[in-house]
Amino acid sequence: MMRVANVFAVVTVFALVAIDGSSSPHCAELQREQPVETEMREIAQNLRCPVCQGQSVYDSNADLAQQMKQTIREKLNAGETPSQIVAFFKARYGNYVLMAPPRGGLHWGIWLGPFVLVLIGGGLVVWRVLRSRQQIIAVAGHSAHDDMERLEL
Amino acid sequence: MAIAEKFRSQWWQITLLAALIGIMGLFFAGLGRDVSFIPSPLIGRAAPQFVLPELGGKGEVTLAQFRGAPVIVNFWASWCAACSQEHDLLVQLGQRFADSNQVRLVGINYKDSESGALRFQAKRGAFPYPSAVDRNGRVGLDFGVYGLPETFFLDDTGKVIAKHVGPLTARLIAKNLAQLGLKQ
Repeated sequence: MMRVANVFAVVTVFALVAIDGSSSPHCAELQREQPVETEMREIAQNLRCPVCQGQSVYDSNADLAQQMKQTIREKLNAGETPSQIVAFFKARYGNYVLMAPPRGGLHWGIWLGPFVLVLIGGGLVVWRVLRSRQQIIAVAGHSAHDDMERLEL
Repeated sequence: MAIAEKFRSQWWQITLLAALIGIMGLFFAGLGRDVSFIPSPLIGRAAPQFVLPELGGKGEVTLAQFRGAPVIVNFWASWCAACSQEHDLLVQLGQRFADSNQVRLVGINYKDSESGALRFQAKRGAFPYPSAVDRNGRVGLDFGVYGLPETFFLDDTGKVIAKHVGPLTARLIAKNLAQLGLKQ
């Protein structure tokens, strides 16, 4: 059992060294991730790719998404803030381009609607249960009263 | 009296049923929707300005040069299959308004190669109006282009009145020309 664990550890170490020393340009790119790339990722993850269904710009390899990522990089290098960049895309593709609906105005309905519905539904259930319990007590009280009357008779 | 009484005891069931029917109605209405359609925030606003080289290398095409007349801006490419569907209609439309200032037409050759674009016109018929070259899609991004062909209808002040995504049809052209205030 010990021996298996040792072999496993050695293999793991070798595998890690192999990955680390790999000449894959992708790995090299990841290791050298510039601050701009991190910022680009944060923006692109919150933007919806216009040509793919339900995928973010960051996750998509579509031509338009690549172009949008490049545009984000250029704008970051030009000193624009993330909110300015998001506003740039929103002015061109509308709210559609946002991964989450904006918070504010009528959009609060989308955010709060489900909770309001759950509250209404829960309230209805509680109200129904309380009412039927009251009815049961009332009926039980009534029959007890009847019994008493019958006894008296 | 009995009905009112019954309604009072069952109002929540009726409300629940109405809500269910309402939600089903929403879902049903959603079935007919094109999920890939993106409403353009550009409608009602000024069209983005552009200065691009003219296809064929003769000079520049700018949106400003059409000021004073309604403009139809058509994004096309030789790699776009649906663009050949609307091609003949666009050529006809261009010929119809060639010598008039009623409507001006301009093409934007989007993310295409010059040779491909010229070959497309040689094969399918040349546009009787200029095309601007948007090689990297920068202007396309400004217009919020996401799927070719896309056509924008601007009024004589340069405001976007309507946008159509997908190949144009004779009916759509007539409808949008009417929106620009043109008689058939």
